[in-house]
Amino acid sequence: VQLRRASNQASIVLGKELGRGGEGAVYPVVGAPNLVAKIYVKPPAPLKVEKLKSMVRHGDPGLRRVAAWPVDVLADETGVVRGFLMHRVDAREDAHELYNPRSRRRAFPQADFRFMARAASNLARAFAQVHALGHVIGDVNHGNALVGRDATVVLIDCDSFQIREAARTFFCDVGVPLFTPPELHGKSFRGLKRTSNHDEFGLAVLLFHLLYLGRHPFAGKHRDGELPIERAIAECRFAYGKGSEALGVTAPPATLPLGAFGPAIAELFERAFAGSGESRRTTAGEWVTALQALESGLVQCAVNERHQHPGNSACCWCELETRAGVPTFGVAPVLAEEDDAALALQLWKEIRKLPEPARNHPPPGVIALHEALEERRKLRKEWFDKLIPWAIAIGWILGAVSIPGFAIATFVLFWVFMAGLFLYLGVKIVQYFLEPKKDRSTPVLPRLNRWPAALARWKATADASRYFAAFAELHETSAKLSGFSRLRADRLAAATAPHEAAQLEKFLAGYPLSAEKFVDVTRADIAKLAAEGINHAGDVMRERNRLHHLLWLAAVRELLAWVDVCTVDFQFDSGSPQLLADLNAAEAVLEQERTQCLRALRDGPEQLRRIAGELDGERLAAERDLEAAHREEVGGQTTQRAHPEAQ
Amino acid sequence: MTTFEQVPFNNLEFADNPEPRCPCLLLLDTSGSMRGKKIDQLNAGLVMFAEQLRADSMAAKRVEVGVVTFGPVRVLQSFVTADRFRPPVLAASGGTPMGEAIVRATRLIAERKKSFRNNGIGFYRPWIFLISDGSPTDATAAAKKAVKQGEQRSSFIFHAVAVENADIDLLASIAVRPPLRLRELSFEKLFVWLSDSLSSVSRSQVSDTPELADPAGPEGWAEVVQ
Repeated sequence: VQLRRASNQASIVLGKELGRGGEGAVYPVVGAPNLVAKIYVKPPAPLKVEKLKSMVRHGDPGLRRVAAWPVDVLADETGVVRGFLMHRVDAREDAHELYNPRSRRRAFPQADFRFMARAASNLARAFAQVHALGHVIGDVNHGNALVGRDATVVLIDCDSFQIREAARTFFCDVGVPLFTPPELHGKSFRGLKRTSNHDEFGLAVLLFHLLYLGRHPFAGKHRDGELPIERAIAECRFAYGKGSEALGVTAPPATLPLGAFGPAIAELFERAFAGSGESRRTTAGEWVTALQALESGLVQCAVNERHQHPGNSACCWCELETRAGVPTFGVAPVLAEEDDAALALQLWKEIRKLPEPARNHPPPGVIALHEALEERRKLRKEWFDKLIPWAIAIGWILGAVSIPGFAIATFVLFWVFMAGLFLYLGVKIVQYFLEPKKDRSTPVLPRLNRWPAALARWKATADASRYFAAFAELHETSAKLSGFSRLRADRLAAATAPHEAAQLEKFLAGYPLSAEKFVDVTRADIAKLAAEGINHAGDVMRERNRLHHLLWLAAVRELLAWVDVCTVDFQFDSGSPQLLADLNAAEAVLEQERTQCLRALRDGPEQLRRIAGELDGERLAAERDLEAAHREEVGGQTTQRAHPEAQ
Repeated sequence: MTTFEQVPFNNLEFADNPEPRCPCLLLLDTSGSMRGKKIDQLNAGLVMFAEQLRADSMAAKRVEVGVVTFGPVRVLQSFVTADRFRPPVLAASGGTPMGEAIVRATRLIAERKKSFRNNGIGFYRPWIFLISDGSPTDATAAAKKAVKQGEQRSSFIFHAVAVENADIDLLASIAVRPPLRLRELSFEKLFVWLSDSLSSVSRSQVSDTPELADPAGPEGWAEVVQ
């Protein structure tokens, strides 16, 4: 589709798709690195087009800084609006990547609570900016605010905002219930007039997520069991509030109390979540002031330098970490095994992205010719092969008939057959000499010496099996790396097992066999065991599979039960120098294998590319070789190449 | 803090990632009849499933995967969020104790929901996804009852997928929803569909039902059984 900007009819060219949502996709604009285009799947309805045009007209520079605001409308050749242009928003993550503690460690590894407080106040600033111009965000959710490395916030999906233009209002038809105020639950958003007071509920939910480690303010523990978050919102049951006990909900375990950041912040949240919007909720502007105050009052914890907490109280992060063991802002140790698996997956993805070499190349023309020759050779052999069983069968019949005394009959039959045979051969011989020579020379086939080997070489390159074998090997390597923690555990267990067995046997050697300890094991039994070199519990343990040959079943059982009892006090010494040496050796081997896996996977793409290149070269060489063999061994009349790729 | 509330062990996981959960329990037949190409394809499908879920940053935090195989019945993977799910490599052997496996699955779901409630974690209706190519070698009366009850009370959604010669009538009698027949071992397509569906569920709201792609459509992996 040829797209043009509505403002100046300049045509634009889209680049490769950047992302896709339910409504449409976003593309870069060739030659305009600071712009992107959102193109709808279906051309938007007339009302939506008017809304977009109105937004373009009323784009305010302040708004454009905090929101991916439409800057121009895009239409196709027929004038139908297909999408719009906006400023590019780069190097940012969805707000949920910041507020969720686990993804924060990955997406914002350096972020401490000061950063969170700044991102929170910037979010409030962005809301305030939109509200100041009379617009409403409407569809507030975890995905429509993007946070940058500098904690600045940009609002996206602006085309869904509720837009006010003079006396006219363009509505927002969507909403996400987890961020929707109680009074709007159960209502249809289509044509519903939203207010900034509604937005302020969603803003407070987002701010709560940012400040209280990703928790939803209405996800609590309910007295009677299940309480979906939407219902809790509709019923105004704020899980962290003063009145929550009376409402039958409590905050979940291992969470921060509402007052962790002081009474002022707590009070603002109480007000934002209090009721169904009769009383005014905390406005974006009020949040900006309060969050600025919170940030400026933060001090560094005396114990953990990564903890930033309000200065007028003890460190809430230390408190939470020691009380509940929840890692907050310290760098959580990232498990090596998780790294391996993630790395393996990532490297394997790179490998899978490579284009596969073409396989099953069409054979050059000379192969078809040789296949025909081969066919003729086969036919001739088959014809000859068919004769053999017939000859044998007749021989057998004659033989069988001749045994029991049908001498005369046999004699006659035999000579009749022989006469026939001679007659036939005679005719054939006469024919052979009488017929012209050229007829006999046609079935003579050339002897092929070089050809079969050349053909095998061509086939080996044409199906690219070498490439796919290397690919399969890389797949195995990535599987090995992603399961490396299991492999490590198995290897270390295997290295430990003989030490444990040896220590156990040594320990059990301290329990000598004597008849007083047993009922079913007699003195004679013990003598018999001693003769076999079994003198103590350790020997019994080692030789347990042989006991059945020496003693009665009851005695064997009693002996083994006794060994079990002796074992109870055994304590494995995991610090023995020999064991540690073995473990170190096993670790060293493992580390070597791990490095090999990593190297193989890192080099994988290059290796595959190289093989693909080699295969192409070899195939062409093999084709030339085939043709040469053909010329040499069959003759040069039909050596035209059959497929263009080989040229 | 003056409260001395007890802190259950598993809440670390919920503190680290308090997003609402969308649990999906894979109930996989690994009986001897799955040997060969089928189990290989299933394994490849699982790898794809893990990759796809992880590619969606929201689904990776919200979708929880559990794996129970039969037979014998084993919990190969208790529920983990998709960002931590490592596809197991399955091997086929043994009988088909499907009845026991289903009962175990419903119990796991019930336990998981209990720990969500205790930890104040929102959740979507859990999915149980049964894949089998045989007929059960044990009694299924208890399983039928458990599935019927669970579906009636909206405790979970139970999907059954029949591979090749599975006893489809029996699957139909267990599942409340009509079972689907896998088209020519297209396990990869199945798991791509499953991860897409779970992704869109996890983006939807806790109590609404999003529209999912039709698995029996022309591009789908399934055939509807009449």
